[in-house]
Amino acid sequence: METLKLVASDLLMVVFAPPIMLGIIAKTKAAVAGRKGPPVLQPLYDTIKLLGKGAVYSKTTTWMFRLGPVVSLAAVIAAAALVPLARAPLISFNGDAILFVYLFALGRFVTITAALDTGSSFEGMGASREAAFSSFAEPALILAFASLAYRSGGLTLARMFAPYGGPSAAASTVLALGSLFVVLLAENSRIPVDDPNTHLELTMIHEVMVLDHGGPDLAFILHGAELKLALMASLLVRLVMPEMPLVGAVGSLILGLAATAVVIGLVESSMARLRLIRVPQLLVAAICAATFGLLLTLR
Amino acid sequence: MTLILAAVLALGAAALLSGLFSRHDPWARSAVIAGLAAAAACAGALAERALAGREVPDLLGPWLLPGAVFHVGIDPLSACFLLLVLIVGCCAGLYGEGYIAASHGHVPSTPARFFFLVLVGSMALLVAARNALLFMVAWETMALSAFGLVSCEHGKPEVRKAGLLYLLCTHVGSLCLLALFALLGSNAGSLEFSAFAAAPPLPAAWTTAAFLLALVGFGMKAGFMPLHIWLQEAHPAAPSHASAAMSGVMIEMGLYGLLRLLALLGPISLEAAFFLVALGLVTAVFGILFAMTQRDFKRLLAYSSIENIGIILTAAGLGCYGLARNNSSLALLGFAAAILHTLNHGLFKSLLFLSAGAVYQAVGTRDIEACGGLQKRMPWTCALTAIGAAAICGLPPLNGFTGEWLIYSWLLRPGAGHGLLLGGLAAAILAVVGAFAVVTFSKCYGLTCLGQPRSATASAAREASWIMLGPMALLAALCVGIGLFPGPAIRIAFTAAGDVARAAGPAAAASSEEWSRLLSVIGLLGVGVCALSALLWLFRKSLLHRREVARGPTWGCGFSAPTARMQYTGSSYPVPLTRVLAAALATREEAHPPVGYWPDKAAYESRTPDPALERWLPALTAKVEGWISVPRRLQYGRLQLYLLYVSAFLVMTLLWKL
Repeated sequence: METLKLVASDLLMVVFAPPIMLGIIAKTKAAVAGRKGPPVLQPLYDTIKLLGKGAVYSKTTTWMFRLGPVVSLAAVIAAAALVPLARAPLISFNGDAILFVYLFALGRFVTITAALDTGSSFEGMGASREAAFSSFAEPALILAFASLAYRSGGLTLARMFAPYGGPSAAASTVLALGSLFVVLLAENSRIPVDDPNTHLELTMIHEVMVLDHGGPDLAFILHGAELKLALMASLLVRLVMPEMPLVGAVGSLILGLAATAVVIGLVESSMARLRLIRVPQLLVAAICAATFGLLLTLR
Repeated sequence: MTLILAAVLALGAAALLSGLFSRHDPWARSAVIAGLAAAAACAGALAERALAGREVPDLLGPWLLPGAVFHVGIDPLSACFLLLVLIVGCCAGLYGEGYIAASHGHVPSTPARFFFLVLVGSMALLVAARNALLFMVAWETMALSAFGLVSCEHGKPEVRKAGLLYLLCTHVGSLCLLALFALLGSNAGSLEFSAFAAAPPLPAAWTTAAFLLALVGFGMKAGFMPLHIWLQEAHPAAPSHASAAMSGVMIEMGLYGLLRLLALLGPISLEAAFFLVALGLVTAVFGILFAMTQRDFKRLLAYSSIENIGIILTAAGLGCYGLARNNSSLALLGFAAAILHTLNHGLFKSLLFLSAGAVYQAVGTRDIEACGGLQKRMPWTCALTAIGAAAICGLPPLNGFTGEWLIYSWLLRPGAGHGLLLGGLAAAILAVVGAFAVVTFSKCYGLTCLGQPRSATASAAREASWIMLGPMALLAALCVGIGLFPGPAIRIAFTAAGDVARAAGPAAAASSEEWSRLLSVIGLLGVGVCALSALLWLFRKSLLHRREVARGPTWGCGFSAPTARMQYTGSSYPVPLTRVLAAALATREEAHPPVGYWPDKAAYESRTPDPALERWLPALTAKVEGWISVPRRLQYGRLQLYLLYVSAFLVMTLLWKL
């Protein structure tokens, strides 16, 4: 019964939390702009609607184009098994943090190749940018993980992302949090790196890669992207937020995710997208912050 | 132990027969296949016995050369590399038959067969050699047969140039090795490897000299930056099955040499270990950076070999750190990661070189910019290329991830000490290398196989023959198999690493069990990803079952007449990165942009020359030429004078001895 409850709560987190998080971001942005905005559940409605639609495939495409959304979603779901969502993660072992990073890389690789499969110059452009910018995000992620692993004494996500009370805890947490937050924005195509709601394909990164996908394929991609955001956000939440009384582990995680969504919404409302040549500079700043964090853990 | 001799003899006999039957193609082909099969059977049985931990007695025979003993033996380290030689050698050899047939006489069959078999045989002998002279003979045979393969198509001027460059480089390396063995031999009083191990340690200054000689001698073959200059020229020049064997196995013999020396001579200093790690990281970063900018498929792969050699060297350096710190578990982990990545690299790199050959035969060019859309025309080749590309990026659930994961685990292991900052930074550099590899190989696979054909030859491409596809499929299956079920490969790597790390058997076995348990979890998760993908695929199929599924043109964002030429190209794809890293790459661009209201012809050309080959080497040779201009006065080019020199030298040596 206990395991059943655990699986049910995990499933809840994997299926429902991600779209709702995106809904909260949209709602926050609307509220700041003085609009009413779409309902919080709109991303979920979109996904369900897309699952019921047919599809149009370009004549240029091959099986790679169809495989991309499937494998990228599977990789993100596998990554979810490693993340301590509400309680202990489904699978946890020494070194799972590296696998977590590389599962995202797998998802990125298949998304990029699926985009190149269309032979469209726009999608090639998106693929080229995605591949380039993630090259700066990945070292920041690894450096932040390194400082967390060193200070917690284990290379497992569950140990790294837990409240920590050792020496210079606050400073190293803040630095890791800062760099991870920038990586979260960059990897999940949020402002200031990418704008998922723009109408000009020329300025997009992630969205332009999936221009040709429709129907269930697009639903898989959207849900994969939302889940990726939720997974990274839940790591950040666990890093700073202890379990709160009254609401329990699941409740505090959900509250934390909602708060993260509001913060992302506020960031998106308060600034414009950076010029593309500025994006590497932002990510290098994240690398520097993570390196300082690493320095602080060495004493 | 006679089995290794039988394998080498079988390969030699097959080489001679294939040369004899140069007019009877089917006979020569049967000789090649029979020779490879016999060698595989003999040496495979031997490697299995050595890896299972059973004692294999050495074989000693007399030899006419002074100081030389024909001494061969096999231990797990040798067995591990022997296995690699055999797998890649057999796959590439079989593929080569299809490749030679498909080339319609462009690849001269006799030298391609002869030198290939000699190359495989000499490498099998090399890993078993237990005497420095035998080692050098095998090493030189390997180097020269590779020269024969590189200059197979010597009708082309660029091939001749590449061959000559390779020959020069490999001899610089061999000279260093001769000096190294002379040094070690004079210290030990014998050229037997066992004598090296038993000899008293060298004086400090000589140790440094020996380290540098080994680094240059083996590094020249392996391609450590900046000694890599011949690699990116020679690999594209050779026929593809030969480049697969050269890139997948031959350059790794340089690493075998280093590991063997470490096993014989024991730990090196801490500074030297740090130096190896730094050299490995520099090699990895610059290797992949230059790979990214290439538009020649095989040149890209050659640079990526340099990158992988860098990763392996990093891991070996980490192992040396463990040895220097007297921490056998760290040493074991580092060396095991190096050996595992060596095995993995041999598999996926030779797979990719074989794919490059199939594409070259079908399209008639190695230029990525002229390919595209091949997946519709060559579905099997492209599917196998996709597996190779994903494996070389180190993505789970394929084999490339297992070795890299071990290196990350070494670097990010928690513990006390000032080494941690360096560990974290090294891990970040590895992450950069991994991300750049994704750029490089999504370009290499995506722009070659996907999209629309960029040339008429690409749109007329035909699938390769089954004799080419079969070996590729076998290599791809090994890549997937090791990724999903890494247990056996891990055990092989740790057993072999036990020799280098000087860890006693039980300690190595325990450590191997621990890491293979962790990696099995990763493998299981990989199986999970595959199963989940299959489920999602079925779910998608069932969703689309009753819906309308239409086919149309690619969405052109409102532009109604997009053409294949508007696609991203191999040069434009990495531009967001190359612009940022312009200082390191020094890409030369020549642009004539369209000017005015009625623009004339516009042109753009970019090229990333290799700095070591095109800037540093000429500067160095100019310096050296200056130095040797003095002794050059002795060179008059008259035979009588040279005879005089010889007799004068003889008289001088006689006087010395008096």
